[in-house]
Amino acid sequence: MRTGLYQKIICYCISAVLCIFYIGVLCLGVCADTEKEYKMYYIEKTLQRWIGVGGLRYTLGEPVDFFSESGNPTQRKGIGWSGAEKDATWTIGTTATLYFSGIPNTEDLVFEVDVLALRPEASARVIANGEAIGEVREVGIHHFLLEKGLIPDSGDLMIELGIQNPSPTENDPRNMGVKVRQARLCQRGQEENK
Amino acid sequence: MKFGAKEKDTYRLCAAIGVMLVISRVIMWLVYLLWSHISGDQGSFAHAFFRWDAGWYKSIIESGYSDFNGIKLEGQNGAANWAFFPLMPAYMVFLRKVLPSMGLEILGFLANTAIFGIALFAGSRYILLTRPQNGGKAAFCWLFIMCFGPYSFYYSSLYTESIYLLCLCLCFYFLEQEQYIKLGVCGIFLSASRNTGVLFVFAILTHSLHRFFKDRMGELNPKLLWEYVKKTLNDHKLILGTCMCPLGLFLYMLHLYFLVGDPMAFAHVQRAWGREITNPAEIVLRTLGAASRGAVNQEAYFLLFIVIGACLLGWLFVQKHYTEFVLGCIFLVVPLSTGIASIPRYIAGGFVCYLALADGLSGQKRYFKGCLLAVLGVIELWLTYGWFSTWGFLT
Repeated sequence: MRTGLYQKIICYCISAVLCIFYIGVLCLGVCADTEKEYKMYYIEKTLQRWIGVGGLRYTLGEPVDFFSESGNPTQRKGIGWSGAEKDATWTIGTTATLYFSGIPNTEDLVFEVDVLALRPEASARVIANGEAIGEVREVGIHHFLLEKGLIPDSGDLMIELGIQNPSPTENDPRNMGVKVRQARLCQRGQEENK
Repeated sequence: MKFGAKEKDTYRLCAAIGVMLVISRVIMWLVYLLWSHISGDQGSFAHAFFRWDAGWYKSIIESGYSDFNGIKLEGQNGAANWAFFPLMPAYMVFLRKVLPSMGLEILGFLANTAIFGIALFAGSRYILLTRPQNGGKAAFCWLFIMCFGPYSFYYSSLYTESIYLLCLCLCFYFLEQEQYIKLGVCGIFLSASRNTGVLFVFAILTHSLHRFFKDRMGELNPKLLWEYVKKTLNDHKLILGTCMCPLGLFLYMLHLYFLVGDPMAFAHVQRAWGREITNPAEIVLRTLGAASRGAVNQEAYFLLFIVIGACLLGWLFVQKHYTEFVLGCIFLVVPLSTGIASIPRYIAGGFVCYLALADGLSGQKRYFKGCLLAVLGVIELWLTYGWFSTWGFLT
């Protein structure tokens, strides 16, 4: 009688411990403690491709190429980009994002973007970490000031192109907006194509 | 051939399994000879089984689970070996310590075929236990389908299928016997062998509900429900057995947490294979649309499998095998929610659909049964040839 009772108590205790363990592991799953790039690619799915741990780190002045002929087209692309073409990459839909990390926040910076083409009626609002910094309405090289207060201490920067009036063509069903060839971040006054 | 449930029939059952297993693998060897003659491939028989995901399993067996540095940048961008569950690799690591001189390919072939043989025995015992009327015939049909039927080659490949099938059959067997602690132990291994393994807890729930309510459906009321809850919670072995089942999965999740900081990495990594959780109905409709346009023939093939799988599950429901029915539905819907490509493997390896087929065939006339089994055998020959040739839809 007593043995049976002990057996029962032991079974319930083990079951309770197992349940607590499962809940603990699930909690670890909810607040995953992992690398930034991992979170962005696998969990939040904001990155198009896996670029490795530290792959978003950026050195000021480094060109971000969107054309396949460069041999090293950028992997920093989030949602809203089509595949890299020979000369540039089209944005698809109403939002296209780019990610950077390791950006210093001690001085003002300039975001430079080389736009090769726009769809008729299309334009793009340029938004840095949630704050609008300008607009692209025509082809050419554009510069946008990034005030140092825009970059957090973590050095993370998300550049978002808010596309207005994207459209397909007769032969191409993609909802295209702006065709970007190259972009770069640099210190104020050090822009290459003023 | 017929088998009874009595102990003395165990020997006959083992002999039948041994004969069928050997003949089926000899036939596969003949297919291999034909394939190597046509393709000019000089690789060994065991190497011909070493296809697709076997490379991922090999990486786990040889170097363990990878950290961030092991994630593929080129080719299959973002892919890592966390998607593959640890039980089969752990079993291979153990065998390699015992037999260090044997190559992984031949070891994988022999060890998984041996496990498959044991799984066939466990599955047959379950059939004999649950189908007292036609158990012998059903067991024979099931053995034939498993050895000679579609996708049997998976059980000799360096895949998790054979060990998963063994654990699944044992779980069903011990559930039917109401030996819940043994069920719990097998459940740990089951959940450590494949992501769907943990879902066996729903089979336990269905089984206990069915047992309690089967003779009392007419008097269903809240008081009876409360009585069921009390009775279930009072069964300490049932509670412990059920709680043990997910342990394999959660230990693996903990390992992944220490490795990459994400216990759900095994699921998140599916993104690299283009699999994301979607409404299964949406996937079926999309595939149906593609197949009706004749765009992708292999999609139509996968759809056919889903339809056949659903019909077989319907048969289980009609036959009042509710536990098998519920688990079969879960095994169909959950993998389907991430894509259609691996559905045949999940259906074939999920035990219950082939069991339903065997069950249905066992009551048919000998001529019809023979013809259908022969057709299944021919399909398997074609699929085995395709497996050796690395056809894209056999992953």
